[in-house]
Amino acid sequence: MSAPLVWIIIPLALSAVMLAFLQYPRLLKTLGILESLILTLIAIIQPIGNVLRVGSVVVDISPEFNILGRTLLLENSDRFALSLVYACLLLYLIVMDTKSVPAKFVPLSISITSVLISALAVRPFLYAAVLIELAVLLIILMVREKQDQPVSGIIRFLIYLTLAMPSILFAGWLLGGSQAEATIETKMMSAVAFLLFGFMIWLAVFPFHSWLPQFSQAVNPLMFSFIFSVIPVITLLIIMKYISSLLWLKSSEFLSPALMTIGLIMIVTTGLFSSVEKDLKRFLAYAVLLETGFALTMLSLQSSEGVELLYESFVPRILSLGLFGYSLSVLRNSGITLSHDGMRGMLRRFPFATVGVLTSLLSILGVPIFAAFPIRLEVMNLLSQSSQSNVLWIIAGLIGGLVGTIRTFAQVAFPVGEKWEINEKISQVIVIGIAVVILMLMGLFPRITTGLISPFIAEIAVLW
Amino acid sequence: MENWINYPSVVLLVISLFWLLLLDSHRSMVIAFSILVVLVFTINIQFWTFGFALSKLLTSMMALLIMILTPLSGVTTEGESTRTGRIFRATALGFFLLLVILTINETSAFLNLEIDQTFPALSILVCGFLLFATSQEPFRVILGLLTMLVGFEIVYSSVEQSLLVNGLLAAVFLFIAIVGSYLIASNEKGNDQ
Repeated sequence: MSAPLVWIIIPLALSAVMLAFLQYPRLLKTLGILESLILTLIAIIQPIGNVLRVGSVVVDISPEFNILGRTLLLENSDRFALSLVYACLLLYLIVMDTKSVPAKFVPLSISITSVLISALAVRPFLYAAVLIELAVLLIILMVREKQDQPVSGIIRFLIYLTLAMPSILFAGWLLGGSQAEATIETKMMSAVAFLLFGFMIWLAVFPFHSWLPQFSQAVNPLMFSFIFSVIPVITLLIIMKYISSLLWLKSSEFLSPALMTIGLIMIVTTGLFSSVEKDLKRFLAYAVLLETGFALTMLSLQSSEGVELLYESFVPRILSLGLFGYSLSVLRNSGITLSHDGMRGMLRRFPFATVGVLTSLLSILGVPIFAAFPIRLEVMNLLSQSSQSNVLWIIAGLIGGLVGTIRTFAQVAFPVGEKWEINEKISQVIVIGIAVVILMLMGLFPRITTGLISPFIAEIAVLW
Repeated sequence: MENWINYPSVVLLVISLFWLLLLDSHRSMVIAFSILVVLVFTINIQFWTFGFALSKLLTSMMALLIMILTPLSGVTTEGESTRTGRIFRATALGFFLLLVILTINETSAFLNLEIDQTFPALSILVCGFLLFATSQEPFRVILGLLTMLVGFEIVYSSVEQSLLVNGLLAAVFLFIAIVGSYLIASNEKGNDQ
């Protein structure tokens, strides 16, 4: 049995079967949780290339799977991504409320995850563009819930992500020793331009970011946070592999400054936009953009420390975005408008959901005692060794985000009525409570995050 | 151009592009798109194998069929475009076509393709861009994306003959039509409510 069969083909086949049982959402949820739990555990425990023993059954897990003359390859260096993505899926399936989230979320989220993993595994890499496009199309089927839901945000998402596909395919062709008669230098520069354009769209990098806040306004916050917990992680890993495979690009002088500049622009503009933002769903999109900005800055360091930090940052990123999306969906399902006006005084009516929103925002901004703080601090420490002005730009962006958070806090804490109520369900209180405690523990004891990724570090370091 | 027969094809193609871009009725747009893919087929067949060109034609036609069969999508229109809007779109397409013509030799040399393929591909690409860039209506946007991909495929399938890539591209093409029809159907039902 091969690793791609375990983490791609079987989940895809199972999700197709699940589509026949959409009228049984609880059953689907249970099956989805079981499936993602098993896949996460295998990814954590089982090294690829070794035999898997389950009782008397012995299964040899090989890294390769050949399909139509092409290869899907999952190696030990991919085990971190596999564990992370399937653990993320598991978390979302556990907290999913079958009454407010459509049953199709289960099979489609599993198939989206498998397709994204296949994009990471496919060789040559240029096929990843087509597979990510397929995942995008599945996402649209997943996020469309009601007939009166505005589609403009969803359509923008489709347009932008579809534009990325031809761009990356074309760059792949230019780099693949084509028969074009143009000079090598012209070809390379064109390829870089197309690649850059495609990657910028995938990551919603400034100035191609406008679709992200529109998309976040149009869809369920829980689904949005799931999608943008998984997609940027996979695309960042694909980008790293892509660049690592092109030695001339990896060793070029402009790569590091370009990544740094783009990352800083993202952090600063996101801070600026969020400081004046009143819509909390758009705030969620800005949180994604801020995380991407930091991810690019970590990549720009072009060192094993930078890559380790990037991998460490994925854990708090997924947890913070998950908590943000979950808390917003709790409020949304209770009929609250997710804007400053709609949220006025909500701390007294929905204390746990409101605290969930504020905690996740503070964590994403890297405020002390929250999960992202040690990572933000380490990034700034590493950056300060080369340029202190870059650190100042990051601080400026974070201050912008903090202003937006304080404005949100002022609105939710506004005293409307004297009485304090708890309108969340007990299950919601437990989920939010656990997530807040974990985010604080990870901030107070950074070794927890390091410990989570340490088994994979040896394989990760060779990637960049 | 390589073959004289392509001159009338290209003229017809440009007319169908203007038709696709300027008319509001879904029915007219569907007809224009059908003409477009048939003309692309007549051009592709000169450079590709018959089976390959036919598979592209069939994929486009199937995608179009999926769009046509969407409930409520056959007769509705986005609403009358203003005259200024039409003039803008026509002028934009005119300028882009001019740009394509002025750079056609360099582009063809860069891609190592004949002008017979490069000109239709780039013209269709820019028309697709204009279609989805100037509208918010799902039908026009999806048709714009499909148009853009038709243009892209002329170039890309000429340079990359891999069966798997082309198969996946065909799957994406059809899937976009399915997703589009899903969005159109639910959007129009939502509007009715």
